[in-house]
Amino acid sequence: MIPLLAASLTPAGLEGPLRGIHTLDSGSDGQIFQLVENSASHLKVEQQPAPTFIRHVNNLKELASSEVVGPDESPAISPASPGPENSTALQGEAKVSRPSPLSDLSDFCTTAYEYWEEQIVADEPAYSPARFPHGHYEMGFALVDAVPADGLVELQNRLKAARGTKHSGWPPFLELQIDGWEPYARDNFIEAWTGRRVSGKQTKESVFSDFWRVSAGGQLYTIRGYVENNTWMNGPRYSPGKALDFDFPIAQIVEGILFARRLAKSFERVKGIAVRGRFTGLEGRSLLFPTSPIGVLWKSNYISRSRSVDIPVKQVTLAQVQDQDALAKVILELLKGFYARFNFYKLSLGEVQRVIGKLGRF
Amino acid sequence: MRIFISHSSHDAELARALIDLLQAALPTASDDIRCSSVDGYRLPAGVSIDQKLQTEVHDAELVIGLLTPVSLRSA
Repeated sequence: MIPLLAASLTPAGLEGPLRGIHTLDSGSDGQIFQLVENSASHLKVEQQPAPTFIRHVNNLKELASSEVVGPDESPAISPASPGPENSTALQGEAKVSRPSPLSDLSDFCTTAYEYWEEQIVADEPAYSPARFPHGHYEMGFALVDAVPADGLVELQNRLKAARGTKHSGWPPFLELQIDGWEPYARDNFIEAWTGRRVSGKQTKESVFSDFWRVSAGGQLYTIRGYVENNTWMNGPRYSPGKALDFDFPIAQIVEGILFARRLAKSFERVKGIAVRGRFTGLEGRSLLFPTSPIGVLWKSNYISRSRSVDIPVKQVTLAQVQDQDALAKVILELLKGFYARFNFYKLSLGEVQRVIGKLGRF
Repeated sequence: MRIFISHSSHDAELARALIDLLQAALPTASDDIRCSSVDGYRLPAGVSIDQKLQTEVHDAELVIGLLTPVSLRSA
């Protein structure tokens, strides 16, 4: 058995058959990871990479620390009944732990997505381009340990400064000076939604229907559409939901990281940048490869059978995003699993370097 | 069923969080886990609860015991 101790218990406080048993403390990240490792060993399976389940580690830790002790009405299974060879228990100290930057970012993105779905596009028709009917991608970034900006006016100034460099015509976290599409303050965030119907008009393209949200603490989230879904790109070779420009995911994640890097310059004590991604609407899409410098695309047989792919949260240092080659290695690690979903496509460092090179003004 | 989570019914929320962690971290299916207070992981209807629990605890490859003030009082 693996004994896992919850709030307000200590190993020294265990009595009877539990006295002296080795327990794991649910208030400790390290011991919860130990629980996973021990469990994998007992079951003879390989555990997933830590970023895949870090959110659940924090959730368990918080619950164990805040557990309410209620009346006991029904008998529990005796923890003493199983033998020691296959068991574990978890014990938690009564303490308040701060969620890690990685789980913070995950929660920030989840909340922002739910808000977009439940409030921003709630009144949009089912097939409105603003709802991304052929899929969307989300990106989240966090300036790790940043000292929060002193209010939303200050944050707005910092965002404007970070927009000083552009790598594409439709960058993430963009500011449009059009009534209804410009950024606005809402609660503790600055947001913008360019899919909004303005004066009875609305963009017909998902790719221009961005929603983004930034917090004063340096957390950023955006949800956007794929350029390949645009009606003006429709042609005899591919239609919405059937193709994905090979360069697109790399370029978008890099552009987002570079924006976060510029924004980080205006925050104090930033220790690194956390990155998260999610791509949906992928099932049946083929990778489109560039065949010439002028951008003619070749549709490949690298087809995704997955509907969506999550890019687990990863924290990178500022040094890694200052250097082009170091950033390429980060992106390779971040996205190689994504590309593998397209019929086992093996992403190379050279391909990542080529796409980063296209963005210019590193 | 490969993993048995021993707990008090009052700790169902904590048990649920533990299941979420195990399912995210390990290649396990829902029917690999028994947790009698969490929907989807409960005992099947119509079985002898005491007998079934004893059998499952004995046969499980891994038993995780949630030790909380409530579960210790009820043990």
